[in-house]
Amino acid sequence: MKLKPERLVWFILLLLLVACSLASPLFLSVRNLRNVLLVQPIGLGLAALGEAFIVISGGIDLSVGSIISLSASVAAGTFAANPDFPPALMVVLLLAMGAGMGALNGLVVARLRVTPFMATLAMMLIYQGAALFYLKKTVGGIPRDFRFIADGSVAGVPVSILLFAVVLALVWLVLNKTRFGRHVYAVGSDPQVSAISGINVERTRFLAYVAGGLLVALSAIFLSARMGGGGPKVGVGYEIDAITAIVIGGVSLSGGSGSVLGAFGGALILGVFYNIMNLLSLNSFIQIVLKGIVLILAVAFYSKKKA
Amino acid sequence: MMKRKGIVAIIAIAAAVAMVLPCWAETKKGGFAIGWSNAGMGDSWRLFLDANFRAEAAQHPEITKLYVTNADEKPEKQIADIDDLLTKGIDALIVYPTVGDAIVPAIERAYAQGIPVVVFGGTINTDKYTCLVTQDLKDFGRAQAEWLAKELGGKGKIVLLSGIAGNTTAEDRLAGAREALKKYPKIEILDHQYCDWSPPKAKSIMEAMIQAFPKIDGIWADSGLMSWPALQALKEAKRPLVPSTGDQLNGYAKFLVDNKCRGFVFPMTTRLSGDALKIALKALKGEKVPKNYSIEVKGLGPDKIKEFVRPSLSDWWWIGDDQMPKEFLPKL
Amino acid sequence: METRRVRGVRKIEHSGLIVALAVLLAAGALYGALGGVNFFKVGNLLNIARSFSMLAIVAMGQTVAIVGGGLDLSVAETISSTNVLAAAVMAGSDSHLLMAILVACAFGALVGACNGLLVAKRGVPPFIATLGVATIVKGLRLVWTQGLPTGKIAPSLIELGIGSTFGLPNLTFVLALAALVFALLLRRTGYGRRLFAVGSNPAAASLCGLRCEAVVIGSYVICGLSAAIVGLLLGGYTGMSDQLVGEGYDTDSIAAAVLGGASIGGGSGGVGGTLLGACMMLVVTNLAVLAHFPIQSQMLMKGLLIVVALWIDSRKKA
Repeated sequence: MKLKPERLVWFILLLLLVACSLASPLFLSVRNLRNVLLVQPIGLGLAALGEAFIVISGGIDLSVGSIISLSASVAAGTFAANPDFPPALMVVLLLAMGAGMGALNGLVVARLRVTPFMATLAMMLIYQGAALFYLKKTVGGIPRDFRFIADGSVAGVPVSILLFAVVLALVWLVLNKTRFGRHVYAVGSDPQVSAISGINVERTRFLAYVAGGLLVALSAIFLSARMGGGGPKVGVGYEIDAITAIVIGGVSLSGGSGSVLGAFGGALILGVFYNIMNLLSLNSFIQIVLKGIVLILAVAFYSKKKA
Repeated sequence: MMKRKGIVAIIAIAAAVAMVLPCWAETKKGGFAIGWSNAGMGDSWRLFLDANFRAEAAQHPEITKLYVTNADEKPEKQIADIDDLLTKGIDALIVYPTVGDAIVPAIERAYAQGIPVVVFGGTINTDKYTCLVTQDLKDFGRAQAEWLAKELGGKGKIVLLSGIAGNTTAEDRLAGAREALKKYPKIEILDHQYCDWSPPKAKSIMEAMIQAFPKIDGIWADSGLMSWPALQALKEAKRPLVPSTGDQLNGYAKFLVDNKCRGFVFPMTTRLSGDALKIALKALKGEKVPKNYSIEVKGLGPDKIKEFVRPSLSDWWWIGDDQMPKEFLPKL
Repeated sequence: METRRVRGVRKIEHSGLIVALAVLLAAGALYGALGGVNFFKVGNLLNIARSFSMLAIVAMGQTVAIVGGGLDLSVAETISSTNVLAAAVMAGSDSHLLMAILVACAFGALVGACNGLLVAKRGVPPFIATLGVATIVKGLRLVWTQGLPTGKIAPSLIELGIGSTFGLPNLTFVLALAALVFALLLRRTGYGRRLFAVGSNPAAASLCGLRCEAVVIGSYVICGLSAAIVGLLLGGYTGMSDQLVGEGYDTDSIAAAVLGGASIGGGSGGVGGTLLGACMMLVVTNLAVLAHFPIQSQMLMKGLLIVVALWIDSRKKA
């Protein structure tokens, strides 16, 4: 019986959940499950969806953290200057910014043909610099209306998970049921063959980065609502977390394989892992070692499957 | 086939165990459970902060449980940490904020539960907390800058070296220093650069500044992590070792004393954590606590530095912060 | 003949980098001519030379890993950990220096071997393998030191780090030696040829009977060793045992190697290009400080220069 990594991830998650409930009786409390399954994974989950989109198309995005920092800075800075700024307009503004930054990344990668790793590393510096131009340090004061995105709930269910479910379904549909989605997979697994079979590789790559930018912007919207503030440093390191999540979720870094559901599963696993570490009050340095071990074990396990 | 059966069996057993388990709920036997959400760990300053916290906790037998989490400097992780601590059923929450302005919702949630919430070491953009224990960071930069200006007799050319761009602590210290320097019109600021609290970076930036400016009369650095390597660079370039400022890093103090140069240490005290714990306990016992509690910290001039320096200990020791029982001191 | 032809091609590939460097140097000269600080002042160039030596050594190690089809994100943590470990072993005395160097090299090689084994034997993507190993190395270092390193750097290592001989910083001699070793390794040895073969087409290489696994593991060990050496040199340069000293060297070394023509994915890259790449990374920072640019502009400049240099390169290739 062979399971694909992106299915395997759910099995691992199940095992982890069982192990967690054995390890700490607090884990299965309704409050904790709500936190760990419905609230905490949203920010990382959205960023992971964006990263997965790009990685499946054969690229990588190291500028995720800086895009989040810049978007959150703009949100917090605008609200601080003008508390009555309409929240809906802010959402639109941030989405446009995210798409714009994604398009810029896509332009450099697809059009200027710079290696994705280096291109997005350079863009990371540029967005980080821009964020520092805009705001000197983190400011708070994101209004309650906007914070509803992260804190609000409808009949006990957090709004954020409902919105996330919609986004996840949309992304899944785009990647699995549309021609564009098929092209993304094809370009990711073999750009030369795709080009021969008439796919516009450049355009597909570009659009994948735009889609990724949009999803990362959604993550930034959720995060600034959850943090109630934003600044030039709030997203630092997010790209590494997102890549870790999708890789644990069975997305191959060489492109062309993996699913967005798996990517979300990876984000859930990371969230549950941090949660159980806190519930067990483990020494924080040992936590770092364990994090490294988990990452390597998970991926070594998948890699063997492939061989 | 066998494999599949095995997997099904494991799942079944696991599910059964999982369903029985919640009956084990943790029972509390009197005493207080205290949760501390720390912003980050992994440098020696945080180690002293932790040591001071544990030393204080040991003096209070009524504390039966102590939970510490590490947010790795990420505000989103800290929000999750605070939620997790609340899940653990803590009686009081102590927070060292990663960025005070970006964890407000979590602080408000904790406060709404009716437990004492003591924030220390940063600012917070809400009034939904029990007590805010701080050391004024603008004051920190101001005191350093004023000492430097006076040392230079109110005139001279200086360079500013600060920590990480966009970091609240670094920016507040810098703002304080710039504010103080405005009062000394004859002090000329040659340049300001961020050195990320990294000695090698500070050293190479200072080397470039030495090339750029034929005369530097003083160095304002918000931490010894930068003034120490900057002085090294001056020494290697065979330039005079000018007055400088920093924090209570032992290596910086050692360099000042060994090279007989004048410097000013303004401590970023690690005793904040102990004070925050004391206040949280007071609040738990129903005593009245101030809404804002500011710790008075005094700078150490060249004479005081000679008195406090620990020549035999690690460069990464924090002088003046080691007044605690031996068993809690970081091990060398 | 074969190698010479390859070299000719490489020279064209560096054009982007050379253009970027030329622009930077021209800007430096212009700034000096307009009354600013002279970038070409001997003192300034010697300063750059010291930081350059350290970045270049890591970047050459990184180049070897990249040529072999990989990439090493663990160099930063390896540098920091070696620094702390070696300082603890030498404890400020010259008599333990040799021991410390041996321990440091053994540690660097061990980290490299872990990376290499994961990549070659288990097929873990290099990005993840080296990231995971880096995380573990960092965690173990913190478990050991708790963030409070206690070691001391030996005086002769400090002399190596800050002293000069014949008017040149000692570090540049170390760099020259390292560059010679790397150049010979990549261009004149059987291992170098095998490395390029495995990097450009692993399937074909293994069909030709090359032991790909050993070659790849070797490349990570070499990268780990170069990081360990830089960990020691940085100890000499700063004169202290600093547990965060390697921060930034991971991305900077990759950037230097890729700017110098190494392509992620393997099969190309060289010592000369990497040296130029490392040079560019440091010249940007140095010029920015000389011209009092704020940090934001420094970031924008660095980012734009990388994009432009690589864009020009890719146009040449196409």
